[in-house]
Amino acid sequence: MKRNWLIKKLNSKAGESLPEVLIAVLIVAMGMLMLSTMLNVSSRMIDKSQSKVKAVYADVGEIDKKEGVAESGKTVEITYERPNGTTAKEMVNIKLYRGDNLISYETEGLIP
Amino acid sequence: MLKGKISSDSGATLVLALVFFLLCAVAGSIILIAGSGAAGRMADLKDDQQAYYSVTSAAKLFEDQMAGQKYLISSGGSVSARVADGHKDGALQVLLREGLASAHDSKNYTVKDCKLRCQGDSKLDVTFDFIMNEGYYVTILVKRQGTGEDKVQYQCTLKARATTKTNSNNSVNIDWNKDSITVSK
Repeated sequence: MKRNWLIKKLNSKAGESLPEVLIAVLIVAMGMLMLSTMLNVSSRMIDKSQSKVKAVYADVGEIDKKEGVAESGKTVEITYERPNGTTAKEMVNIKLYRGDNLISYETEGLIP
Repeated sequence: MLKGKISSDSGATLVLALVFFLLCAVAGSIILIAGSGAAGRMADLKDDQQAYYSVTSAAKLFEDQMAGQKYLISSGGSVSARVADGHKDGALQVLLREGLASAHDSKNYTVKDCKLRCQGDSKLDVTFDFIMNEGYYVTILVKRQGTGEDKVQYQCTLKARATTKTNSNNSVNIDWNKDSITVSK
């Protein structure tokens, strides 16, 4: 009985156009929605990346031209273990150049 | 029956819709993967640029410290600084003095994993290896470690060739001037 119904249903070409089209439209709509969401997310990612790159290169320009915020009176400490096992320490005065994201320095003088 | 189903147009709209959905999904995924890959690379840009500044600043500091250093190795092998033109005996002096004494005895002098710490910001901290070969040829390898173990984010090498002059009493004058110091990646 059930088998006959299935065979009939498979052989039949009638009566399924409307639900079939509705489901197809739903699937297409979902596909288009997904694609547009992905495009939107992707374009936001690209915008964010571009602004990051711009910020980094603006900093690079500032630091290379030494136009960033300069901080004098800082030091670097150089420590090393000598081959005889003792540790040596030296200090060097530096001037820091600080951008929004990056930081660099140059020698300002020596601590005698 | 199956042959009939295959040749039948019934249900073709659904199949077409599914194919369209699949195309949209594939295209969207490709765009999203490309976008997130580019964003990931951009996130590293700041760190890489900072590593570059940390290493090159340290290398420039070493260059400044070494340029103009003048030493005298006596015939007995003792090393002393020849302070001239108001140039102070600067940083790296212990390494240079011991290196000179060692090189004078025809031995290479190597000190590894030296640390340079910055008071202003730990982002500028680097490590370096100091090597002085026979002939008083100095190599300083400056490195900025990355986040992973044993991962070097950026490194550069300073090479300094000394000018030597043997005096009549067999003592040797050793000079490093700015022109003989090169910094390369």
